[in-house]
This record gives sequence, structure tokens and C-alpha cells, in this order.
Amino acid sequence: MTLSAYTKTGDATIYYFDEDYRAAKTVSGRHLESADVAELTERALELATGRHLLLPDADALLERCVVALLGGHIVLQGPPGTGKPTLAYVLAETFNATVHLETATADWSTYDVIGGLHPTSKGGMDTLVPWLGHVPRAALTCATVIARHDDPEEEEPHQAHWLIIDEFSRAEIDKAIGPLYTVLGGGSDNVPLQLWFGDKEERQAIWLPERFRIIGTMNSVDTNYVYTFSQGLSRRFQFVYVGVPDKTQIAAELEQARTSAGEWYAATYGDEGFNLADFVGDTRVARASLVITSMLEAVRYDDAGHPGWPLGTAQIVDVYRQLALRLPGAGEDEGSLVDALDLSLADRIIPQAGNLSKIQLDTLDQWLQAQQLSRTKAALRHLRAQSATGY
Amino acid sequence: MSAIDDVLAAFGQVGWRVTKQERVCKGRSPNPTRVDLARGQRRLSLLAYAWKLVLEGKGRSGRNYRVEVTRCHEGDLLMEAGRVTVGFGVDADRQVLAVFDGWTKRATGKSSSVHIRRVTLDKAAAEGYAEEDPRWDGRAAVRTAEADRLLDWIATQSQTRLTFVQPLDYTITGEKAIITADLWDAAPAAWLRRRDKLVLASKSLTTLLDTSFWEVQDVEVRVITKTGRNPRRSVTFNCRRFGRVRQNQADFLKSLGGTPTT
Repeated sequence: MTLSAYTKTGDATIYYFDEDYRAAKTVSGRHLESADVAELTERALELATGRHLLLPDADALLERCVVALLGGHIVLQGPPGTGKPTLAYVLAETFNATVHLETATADWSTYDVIGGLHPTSKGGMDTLVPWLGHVPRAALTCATVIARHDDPEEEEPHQAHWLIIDEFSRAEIDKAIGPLYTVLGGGSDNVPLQLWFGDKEERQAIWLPERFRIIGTMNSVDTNYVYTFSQGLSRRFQFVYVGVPDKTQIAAELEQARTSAGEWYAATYGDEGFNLADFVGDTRVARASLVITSMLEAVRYDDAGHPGWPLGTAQIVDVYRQLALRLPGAGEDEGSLVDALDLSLADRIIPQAGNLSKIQLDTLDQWLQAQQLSRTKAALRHLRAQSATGY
Repeated sequence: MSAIDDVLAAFGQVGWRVTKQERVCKGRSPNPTRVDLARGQRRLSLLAYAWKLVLEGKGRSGRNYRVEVTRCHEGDLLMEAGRVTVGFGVDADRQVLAVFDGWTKRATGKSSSVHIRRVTLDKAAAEGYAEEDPRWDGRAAVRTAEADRLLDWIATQSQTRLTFVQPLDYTITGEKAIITADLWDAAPAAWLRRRDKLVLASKSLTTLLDTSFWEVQDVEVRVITKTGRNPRRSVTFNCRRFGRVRQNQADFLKSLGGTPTT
């Protein structure tokens, strides 16, 4: 007798379903344990704060994410560097779900998302065997977590397992995820995902657990490289915009960015002589931070009718990392790190301005005219010339 | 002609083409030989050992048969990724081929034997095909002229196995277990490989020692030598809990085979 024969009679329960996908149906009907929006939002806020994630209008943003996830799958969209993957992890943890992340590429097809056949040698026979794509594989893991969570003897604290698809729009996701339309529909019809490549009857369909969620993340800026979505797909995912921190949050944001950069430096190259608190509070770093603050206030936000350039916190962290690397070679006076900042802005920020509109570039240019940042100015001139001439 | 040549000739007679025949060791012994067989779209990759079947020696009934598991290398029978290790016995008198699972018999001593019952060979000669229990130490035999009927049995050896183990020792920590059994005295233990499933059974085989199904994640064989005694082999399974037996434990255990003692 096979194990599935025992599970059918109820004589046995199993926690892993990779040999019999159908057996996962026994746990697939369980819904998320709590729909207490206020409590979940508060938990999400705590977790986001714990991870130093600065979100604009955080309460409302997290509440929208919580409500969206209670109803189905979501896509976090927004400018690069705004912490979307981190937010995705926070949301999974909020719901007591384990999670893993896959990064979409332009090569993704239904083979990657759903699965297919791949050649192998099995039992001495050269043969084609099923390969489960990211979504059904994550769904099976979800079923395992649910099954173990259901069993008090197992002491599994998590209620589900979710999938984060980073860079969601890099893939031709509408095409790749197409066969999931029915099962992601969120309607009342509980139908399994058919797997044409299943080698046995028990592996030819899989029920996506009701507790299973996909969180996609995508940059809304990088439009040169993204595929668009059909309305059908958009209906199956709620899109939540994650923007850059508000103007009022800049000081806190920069302090957090300094801390993140300092932690990176300490973990990577730091020796006993490096002190994180000293780095964060260094007057030379503080002077450079004033320039960064001025830049963000001038170029980041949609002021005076012109669109801002939503520079993310991650890009600012990159600048601070370079400052951390250059700090040991800087002089003692307060302004001695500004030259280092000039190089960092030229190398880390300006190259990302390639997609900006003329009016956005003009705003940046205008701000630069008032600064002593000659290399940044040169970098911007070069970028504009390159855009105009191709050289 | 070696026994391996006899085996390959038998497969050749039923339409299988030998696309590879490569001895693992240089020298006279063909055991083992890497063998690739092909027929149409089907492919079969074996690590094949083959011997002539002979009557059992002294101390046995003398009615049954055996192969003496000689080989070109030291240590256990070999396993190779992508190949099934099988042992063939050639019974020229009956025009029968017998086969056993190389994994289960991997830890036979260098000069030990694998036994095959006369009744199995007789049945194969008469009816074309026969199998021998228990399933965790099985044999199959077939008329040489119908050699391809062995392929299903060989393919079956790749399926996930579920059985009981009567442990010498076991430790359960959370969802993990380390289980040790005697390789020769606790018969199904030798049968189990990675990803197979087991339950822990009492010595009498009447009760489960633990309600879990365990999935084997790693298998390690050790030789234990005590002064004045023959060396013993133990097998240690590193496992994760795969599920639980919820009810009818006795029936469940019974269905796995084995004979309870009271």
C-alpha cells in the first residue's frame, strides 16, 4: 500500500505532498486565521519599524496591504529603492507566514511559473519527469506548513507559506502566469490547477491553499524594461503603491540610511576602530547629510506643478556606503566629506537619472547650480549629452 | 562467455540494444559493468553484477541456489548516480535469469552469497515469471527468452518504499529523528534509501514505538566491532517527520508485512 492509501482512510496524516499533490487538498480549504485588520495593521507597523522601514503614510499603506492580502494577492509597485521586498517580508511575517522570494526575469515562461517536463535519469531510465514551477511548489510548501500548523504535536507557529515574486514586471507575467487565472480568481469556485505534465494521476492537479498568497513587487519607474499587464491579471492582484518617504520624514530617513550604511561597513570591512555610533553622529557625515537633504527636498517631490524624481532610500544608503568607505581618508574639518559626497552622487545617483524627463533634469540641474559639486555637475552634463547624442 | 554477456545476450534477443558495456575495473572481472540498454524511446542504465547460479553449499538444504557475490573491488556493491545497481543470476539449466536489488544487498561481505529459492526458478521456467518475498529482500526470475519482463521489477525498485524498522536505538528531536538499526538482523533496514518512509516498530512487531512516519534524508552504514565477536553492521537513518499514524496502528503495522511475535 502507498501512503496516500492510508491518508484516504484517515489512518494517517502526512505533512509533505511532493509525492501526492492531491493529498494537499485536505488542508487547502483553510482560510487565514485572523481578519482583524486593526490588529494585523498594528503588527505590520511594529515589524516595519523594527526593520527600520520608512513608509509614507505608513498606517494607511499597511492597512491597505493587510486588507488586500485578506482578499487575495497583491503587487507592491513603486520607485526603486523604496523597500518593497522588505515590506513584502514584513507583510508575510504579519500574517505568520513563512516566505521565499523568486526574482522574475524576461525569460520566464509557464515552465518557470507553473512547471513542465525536464529530462533526467530515473531508475536507470532516461526519461522526462515533472518539474514544478515556482507557484505550485510554493503552494505545496504552504500546504505542508498548514498541515503541520494544524497538528498541535508539531508546534509549527506559522499558518502558511507565501511566495514573493520580485521584479514582477520583468517577466512577461501575463503570459507566464496565464494558466493560473482560474485558480487565482478568488471566486467561490474552488478548482485545482491542472498540471498537464504530471506523471501520475496524483500529480496532475494541485489545489492552491486558500491561505496561499503571492506578493509581487515591481518598479513603476523602470518602464523601458517592463511588460504591461492585462486587465485580467490586474483584477487578480491588488496593486498597492509604495512611494518614497514624505518630506517630513527625510531627517529620520537619512539617519536610518546612515545606520544601514554603517552596519554594512562594520560587517564587511569594519575593524575594532570602527564605531557605528561615531559614524552616524560624525559631523562630517552630518554636513554631507545637509547636502543630501537639500537635494531630496529640491528634486524628489512633485512641487510647483513639475513631477519629482522619486529617489528611493536604498539609493541614499548606497551614497552613505561610499561615504563610509571614504571617511578614513577624509580630513578633519566638517566640510571635508563634501568632495567624497560629490563623487558618490556623480557615481551612484546621476547614472540613475537616465529615464528622467527634461523638466526633471532641469530641476536637478537647477539645484546643482547652487552647490559646490563639480563632479556631479559634470556627470549630469555628460548624461544629458549622452541622451542627446548617443555618445 | 561471462554471466554478464549471457544477460546482455538475453536482452538482445528480446529487442534491446546494448549501447554501452563498460567494466568498472580493469582486469578479468566484469563485476560490475556499466550497461546502457535501449529499445525505441526507452533507455535503461544499469550497474550490473552477474554470476552463474550454483547450488547452495554445505550447511544449507542443498536444494536452493545462490550466487557467490564476487566483484572486482573492495567493499560494498557499488551505486552510481543515474544507474540502478542490480545483481543477476544466470541459471543455464532452466534457461532462467534471476535478479535482486543491489542496494538491499550492497553490504554483503566479499565472499558471501545471495540465495535464490529453487521454487522461484522453477516457477519462472514453468510460467515465464516469478517473484520471491519478502518485498524488502525480493527476487524476480524470468525465462531468458522473456528477459524484458524483468524491467518492470527493476523499475519498481526506484519507487518510494514504506516499511517498518525495529531500531537498536533512536533519538527524536523536534521534527528530526536519528534511527539506528542492525543492517542484517532488522531486514527492511537494508532496503531503505533516501526519501523512503519508515515507522518505528517494537521488537515483537506488534506496536509502533512512535506514531510518526519518518522520511529518510540520509543513510549511513557503520561497522561495529566488539572484542571476540564478528563485526556487525549498523545503519543509521537521519530522518524528518513526514506524517503521523492516527488510528488503527496495529492494522497499519500489519499491512506493512513482517511477522509479529508474542
